[in-house]
Amino acid sequence: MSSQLQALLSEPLLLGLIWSIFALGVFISFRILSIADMSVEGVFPFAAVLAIWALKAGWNPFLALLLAIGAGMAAGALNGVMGRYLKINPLLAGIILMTALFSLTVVVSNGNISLEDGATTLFTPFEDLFSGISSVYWKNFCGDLLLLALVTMVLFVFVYWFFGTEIGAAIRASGKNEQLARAEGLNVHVYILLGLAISSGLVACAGALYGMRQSFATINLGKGTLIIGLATIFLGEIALPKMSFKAHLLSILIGGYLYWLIMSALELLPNYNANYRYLIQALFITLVMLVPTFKKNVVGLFRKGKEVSHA
Amino acid sequence: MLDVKNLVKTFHLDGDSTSENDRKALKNVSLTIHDHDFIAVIGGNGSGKTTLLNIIAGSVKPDEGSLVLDGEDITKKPEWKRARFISRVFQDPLVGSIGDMTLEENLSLAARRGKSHGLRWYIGGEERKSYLAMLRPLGLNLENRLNQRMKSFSGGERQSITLLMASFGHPKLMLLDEHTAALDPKTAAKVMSLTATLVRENDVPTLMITHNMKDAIKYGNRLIMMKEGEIVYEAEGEKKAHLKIEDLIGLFEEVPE
Repeated sequence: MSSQLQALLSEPLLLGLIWSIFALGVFISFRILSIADMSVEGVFPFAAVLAIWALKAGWNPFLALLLAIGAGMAAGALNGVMGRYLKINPLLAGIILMTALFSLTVVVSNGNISLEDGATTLFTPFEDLFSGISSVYWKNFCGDLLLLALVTMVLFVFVYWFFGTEIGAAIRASGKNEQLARAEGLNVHVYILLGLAISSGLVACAGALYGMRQSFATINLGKGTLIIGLATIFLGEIALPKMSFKAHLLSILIGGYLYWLIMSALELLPNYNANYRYLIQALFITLVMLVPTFKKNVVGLFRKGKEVSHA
Repeated sequence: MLDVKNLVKTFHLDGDSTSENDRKALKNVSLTIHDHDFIAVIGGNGSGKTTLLNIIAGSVKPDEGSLVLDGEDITKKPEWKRARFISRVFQDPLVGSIGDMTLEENLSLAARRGKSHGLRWYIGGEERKSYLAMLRPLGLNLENRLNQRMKSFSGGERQSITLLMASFGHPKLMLLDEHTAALDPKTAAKVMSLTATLVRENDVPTLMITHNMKDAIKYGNRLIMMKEGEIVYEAEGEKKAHLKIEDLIGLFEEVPE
């Protein structure tokens, strides 16, 4: 099997899972709280760097993951304080936080930070489970897939459960209709802050897993990540339209896989130039966002009298 | 009983307290709302009636004056804390419920108004049954639509549901802010008669702003007319019941500027 084909078969699955966790965080801020939270671009690399730093300092990999998640949740809470209590425009609050986190990331990583070859990460024990497989590549793939599938499942089930509880419903209400939420006795500030903390905690979890898997991290990891998260959400919504909350969450997983399948396939094109990566991402999300409009206006013409409903 | 005393509110449109663009929304408004009152408030645009309602709800802070609800001074209580005692129906049917949440989720939100929220799963079977029992008298055939999102309901349906939500939990005061103004006349009349039924059956003290003079005369035991930030006319009981629209229009034009 050529290494390119090997990568095309395996990488989208693994990256799709990691970025689904990231997109789940973005889903909470963007779809539930109606905030385009730029701070994720700072939280993601910060969490990656922090997790690697903790591993190098001899921490248990699981604790390193928890440290990164905790830091992410603190950042999300701070974002909430800035947006709600200090009344800074939420988009700006996210950008300010992102900028501040860039410095913290550089301080912790000293520019870039990497693990020594063979260092133990959260992935190692899972990869060792498959030591019977002769190909190192596929052994690692199976281990990584198992760990990521487990983590993803736990987090998605948690989010499904949590947003079905009274507190979760209060967060949803606060994000969708602040005026009514207050009139129904909800302390909107607190609920939005809590929602942002959970959102950034998920983003940090994805960052830590991503960092551990590739064994190094730099500040550049965060660039363009919000776009990836949004594209994942939109792709999922196209693949699974008109959905319940459960299906909406499921669609993020589908979106994550599709996004990385498409991106990996593009990289196989003969003239692919990595310098154009961000441009490609930007064009791609623009196209994806045009799909619903296209469906409504163009496809609608062919279905005379049958309004394409988005209600 | 809510005692509204000497409310004053000026909006500084330029953010500057000495500006000529200041708008005095309330000049000196006092009002006592008794336990069985259903008060209709009328007045033109800029008369201060919405500001009065917003101050009572807590979404606008007064410059001066106080609000005392059953002996407790609530002037400084934030809106979300007042929600335990005061419920509200907005003019815009889209604001009064959450379009992206289902009918039963919206009802649950109102059923928990002012109560603490925990990690219990949001809606249980018993709760669902109780909602069915409450929806049936509305006669809108909503019982099979508990799991539909609110945005799939019509304006009249949404406003009726919002009214039902506002009547939950024995509020000490219900505020209706021109809640039929966005509806077509036929639907508005239906929602108005539902309002009267809910107010009567739940015995909720109610303050209702309306532009419809006929409704203001027909419904409630008291009528208040506001103009330029002041209460300029009040009628009660028999006197109110015998008012005519022409009387009100006459009064409205008579009151000195």
